[in-house]
Amino acid sequence: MIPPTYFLYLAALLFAVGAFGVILRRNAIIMLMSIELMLNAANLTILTFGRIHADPHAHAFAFMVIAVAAAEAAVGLAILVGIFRNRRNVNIDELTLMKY
Amino acid sequence: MMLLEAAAHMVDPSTISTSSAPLILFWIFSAVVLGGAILTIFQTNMVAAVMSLVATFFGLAAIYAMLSAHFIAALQVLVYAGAIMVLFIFVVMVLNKDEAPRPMRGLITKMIGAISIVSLMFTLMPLLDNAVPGGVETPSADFGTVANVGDILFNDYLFAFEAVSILLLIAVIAAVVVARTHKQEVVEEGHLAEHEAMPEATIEASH
Amino acid sequence: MSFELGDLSYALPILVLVVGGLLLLLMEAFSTGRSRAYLVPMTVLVVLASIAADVSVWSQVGEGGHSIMSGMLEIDRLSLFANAIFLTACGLTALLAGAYMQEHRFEFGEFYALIVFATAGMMILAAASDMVSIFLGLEIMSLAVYVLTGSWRRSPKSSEGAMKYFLVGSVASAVLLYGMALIYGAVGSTSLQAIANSKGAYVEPIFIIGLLLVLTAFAFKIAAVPFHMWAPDAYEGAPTPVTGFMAAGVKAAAFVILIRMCGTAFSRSELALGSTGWVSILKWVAVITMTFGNLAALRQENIKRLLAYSSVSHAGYLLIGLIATATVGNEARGPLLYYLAAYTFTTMGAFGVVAWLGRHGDERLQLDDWAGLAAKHPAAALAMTIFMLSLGGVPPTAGFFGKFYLFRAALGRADLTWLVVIAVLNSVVSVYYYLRVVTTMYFREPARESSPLQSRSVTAALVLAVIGTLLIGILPGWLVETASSALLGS
Repeated sequence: MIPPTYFLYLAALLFAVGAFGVILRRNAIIMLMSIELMLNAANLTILTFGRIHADPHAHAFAFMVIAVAAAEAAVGLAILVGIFRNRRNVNIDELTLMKY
Repeated sequence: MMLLEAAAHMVDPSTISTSSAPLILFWIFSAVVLGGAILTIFQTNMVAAVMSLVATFFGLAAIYAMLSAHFIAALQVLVYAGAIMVLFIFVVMVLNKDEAPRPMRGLITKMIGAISIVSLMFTLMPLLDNAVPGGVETPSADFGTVANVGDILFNDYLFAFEAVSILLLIAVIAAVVVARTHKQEVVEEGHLAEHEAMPEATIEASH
Repeated sequence: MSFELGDLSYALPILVLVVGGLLLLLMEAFSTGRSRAYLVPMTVLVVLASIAADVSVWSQVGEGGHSIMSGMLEIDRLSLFANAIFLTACGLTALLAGAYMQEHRFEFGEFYALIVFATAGMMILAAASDMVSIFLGLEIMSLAVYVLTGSWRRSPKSSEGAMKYFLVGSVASAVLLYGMALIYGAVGSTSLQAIANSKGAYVEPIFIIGLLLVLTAFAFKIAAVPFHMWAPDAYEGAPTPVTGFMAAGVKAAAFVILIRMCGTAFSRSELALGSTGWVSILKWVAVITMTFGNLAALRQENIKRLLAYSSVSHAGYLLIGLIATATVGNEARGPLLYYLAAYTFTTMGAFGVVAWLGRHGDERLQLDDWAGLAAKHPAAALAMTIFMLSLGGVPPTAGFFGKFYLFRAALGRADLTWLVVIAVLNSVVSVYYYLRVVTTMYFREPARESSPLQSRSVTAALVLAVIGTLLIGILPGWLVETASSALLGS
């Protein structure tokens, strides 16, 4: 049996990688994918704890998270296409129309 | 530290015979997951980034199966590696633009963010070690099967299931609102001189 | 516990709203012709039906709470009072948006369905008693509002604001989910009540980390400093009625669920109080949020950004109310809800006047555009003055009594006195920039001609907001009593 802690480590590392992606990259598509990584890390944590507690409710929770992630990706990509129509660029640093 | 522990497990003759096979599989799939994730965030080629993410999701599906979450593992492949990533590839193709390398901006914000992530990880990692003092419970035989999860989905989670349907409806509306071209706007394209508007024909063809 | 048909009667306000949203969507799909103006009264009708359902459920539930939908929702007076706030914001937004969208030529019928669904998401969030329904309610609300923010598609600012809002909001959702996963791991259940009742879990360090991650995520949602950086851009970029909806509705929903979570799952004194409890963290967040929001608002020339920073500082005042509910006790909930109601009318009204002023794709957001407005449009200038005074907390407006009750509740504990003193000082500073808007309207020569929107529905929305702001201010008693009876439940 693999110690469940390993799964939790993997999830934490995946969350960190996703968070680094959001912070370091300025390309909106990559940022969107990094957010998906963070959601997946959370899902892995939920499923691992579900296995530890032998609680199948965790699986239903994970199911909901996958559905939410799909909706979020669709909305994010729709906004992205909209922004690209306006200015042909998806680099966040160049979105500087509004300044303090 | 984790590596050493794992190595110790493998060297120990009593564990090799019974448990090293799943453990080796776990390491392989973890490498796929983390490697894919790291490649995703450091790629400048968009298509390659999306493909790395697909690899991550396949690896995660295998990891889910190891946790007896068979139904979710199947969903992970179908919804994530399938539907969502196709959507990403589609948008990447529509926009068809790689990121040009550019000097880093907002360095201070990035530093603060990076430091807070690293410190979160340093706090969290040791805590995860003994996160569950109670130990792992033995699940029932049908744990994680479609019947088991479906039963919960349509009883305890019925409300959540319905709520998700509203969420998906909103996503559909979002796509429609952004993608549809109003007649009114086509007439007024001429007024958009102040910012370079994309030729409508290119977008329409790709939708 | 499982699902029962009788549960539906308690969820009636949400059901009415969702069905109404679907009908609005169908009407849009089957309507020919160009104008969608008829959807405004339809939306108002849906909102009124939902308010009626809300009132009937209010008397039905009495002082207690009803756990419905297998423990996913807790219908009590807290959630029902909050519903009324969200519905008010939704109705006023619909009234403002029709003429606004026509004027700036981006009218689309799905707008109304989206605000109705967003309101349904707020209601789910406000009633949620399980981490699953908290997450889903938050996402329904947020996704709809992201789309609304970016709905003025030809305005680059709108899509830019939507993108920033979306990215920051999604990261916050992911952080929230990871925090929930850790809490679930420590407790073994997602129900707020089960979390509150679990004994050993409180010593689990991962529970604390999870709690901090959840609070961080909500700090993003309420735009508390240092997680506020998205707010000015999203507020400025969004179509103005949507900005009002975000400032009033989204903020209220996030605060109501914070009240519920802090009152149940995180209510243990060993978790909340003490030098490392979440109360001591929130105190500092409140101080920074109020002060930074006000100082940044002082130097804004753009009215929407000014109101955005003012909204940040109001999140700081509201955090004091949240702290008071944890330290003083549940009786501080009444003032907090009262403040949210007062703030909703005021802020919707203020953004309503901003929406009213712009013509032909030109929003007239610079303060200079407001110069001399009082000479030509005395009624609108008077309305704006009332809203500004209310935001600044000048009697006899709703905003004054909101602050008065909130700070009085916080004074119930001696160790919160310094917090209240800072808040009062901040309110005094804030009056300066609110009065700046007023003096610009009354004492400066007009720089350019203005010909604001001529629309009955916009006028109706502004009149309603003025009546709300003044009525709550002049006769605060009944609302305070109603809000205070929303104490119980859970």
